[in-house]
Amino acid sequence: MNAGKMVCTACSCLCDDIEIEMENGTITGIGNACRKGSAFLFGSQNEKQRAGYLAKGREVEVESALDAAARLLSGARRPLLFGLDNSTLEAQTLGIELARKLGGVLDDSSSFCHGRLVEDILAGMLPTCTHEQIHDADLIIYWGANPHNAQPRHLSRFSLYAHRKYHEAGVKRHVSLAVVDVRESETAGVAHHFFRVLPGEDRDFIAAVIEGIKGKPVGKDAAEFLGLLEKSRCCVIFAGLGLTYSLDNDFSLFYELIGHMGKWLKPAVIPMGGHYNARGFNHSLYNATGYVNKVSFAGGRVAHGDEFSLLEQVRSRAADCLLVVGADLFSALPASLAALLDGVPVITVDPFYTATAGASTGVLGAALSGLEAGGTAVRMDGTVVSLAPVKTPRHLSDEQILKRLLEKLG
Amino acid sequence: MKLIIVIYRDVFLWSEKYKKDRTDSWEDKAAFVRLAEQDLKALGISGDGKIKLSNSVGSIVVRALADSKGRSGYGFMPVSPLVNRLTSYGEGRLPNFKRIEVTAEATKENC
Repeated sequence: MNAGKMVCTACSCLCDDIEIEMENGTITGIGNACRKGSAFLFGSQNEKQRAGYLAKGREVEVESALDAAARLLSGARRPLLFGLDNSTLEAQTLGIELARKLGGVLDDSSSFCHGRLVEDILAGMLPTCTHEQIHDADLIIYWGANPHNAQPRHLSRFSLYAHRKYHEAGVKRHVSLAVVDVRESETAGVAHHFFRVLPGEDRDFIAAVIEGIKGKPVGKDAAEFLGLLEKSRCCVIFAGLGLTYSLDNDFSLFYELIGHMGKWLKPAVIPMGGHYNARGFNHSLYNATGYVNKVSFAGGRVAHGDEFSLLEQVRSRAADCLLVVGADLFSALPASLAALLDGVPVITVDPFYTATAGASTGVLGAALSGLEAGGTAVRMDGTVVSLAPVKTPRHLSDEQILKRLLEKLG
Repeated sequence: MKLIIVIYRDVFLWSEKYKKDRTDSWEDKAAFVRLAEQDLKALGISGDGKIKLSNSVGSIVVRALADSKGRSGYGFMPVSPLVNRLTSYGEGRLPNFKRIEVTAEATKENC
């Protein structure tokens, strides 16, 4: 039976054309999804992979797990709430409220991913556009990004192949694709132009292009890249983690380049967020506090700074209790850093039984957003997308879990 | 041999995490590094050879695969908990996910 269309939450593309076939409440077929999306959705039916309700490592009823989590949080003096990038906007709002109520620290993965770019977009310092506006572009650049692996349908749904003026064969090319990356990736393989920069050398490449703009002689690659920019009237740059990490989160030179480009073309930057609602978290927290991440609510005031990043909180062993919502810290962090969490009680809210859930004192299994729970989310380009579930959940949604925790904390 | 390891995302490995009939771990499947053919040759590795990657943080043994498009001196490993045994974080900086300095040597140890 066709259960209709749903939004896939496996990545920040939030593809809204996923067709689901179901029999007796079980997914039997998935249409239009990429390898990532179909693995994610079919995987949600693998009971061994789903998180249940645990307290002190023992399986308990949902109410007991919520009580145990609430006790841990209320007893903490320096609680840290991390994640919410894989939660709906509604759950994020409750997460912010919870961190505020606890007087805790709140951060998400954007503090070591795309947070800086999103913050500058929200502050109006960096030009951006939506995927719909990409049809105006004549040059699309993936910089330090390989959507083939991270957002597999991005090219076909939102950029090159979705472009109204794209023709596979034609005498005149109306839109060009360029890739700047350390590796000749699959995306580079389909690009019209590939520029290889070695790890950490993006800054040198950007500086060379700027020198070229100023009329100074530059190397072959910078000259060719500048040639593309000079021919363009509208250019969209999809900024990946490769760029963020190469620049060590200091985008000043990149912004200088964007500023120069703005003198003769219309530039736009879209950060290639990974988690489905990472950008939504930045929007939610920005609206609530004026910051996109790394916030403390201690003492009833809002404070912001690097000391409130997850990385610094863990490194300095500042947190005495950790609530992780929809993130797998123990897989994602350097092992030497994750080891510093030894002895710190961790509560995990997640649809899946991750390494972090395995290391947690308390686990609250959640419904899978999009498939089993509804709400809204912000796509990587800033567009708000509604999620309408097609399957009856066996778990509470993360929104319901956070609401219940807030109620229990009074 | 000194190498710089860069972590990348791999959609096939990502999908493995959710497979129903998974028998081996995600970490085992992610136990490989792609190297330039000339570096493999210099290390004396051919076929299904193993390589030990070490630095001040830790050490791992992985399969060494040839990357025909690879650049000498650089290796590429997929995101997984395994490679995070080599990554580190220093105050005020990002973790070195995209530039991990290691010493590489051929080995007969198991992954």
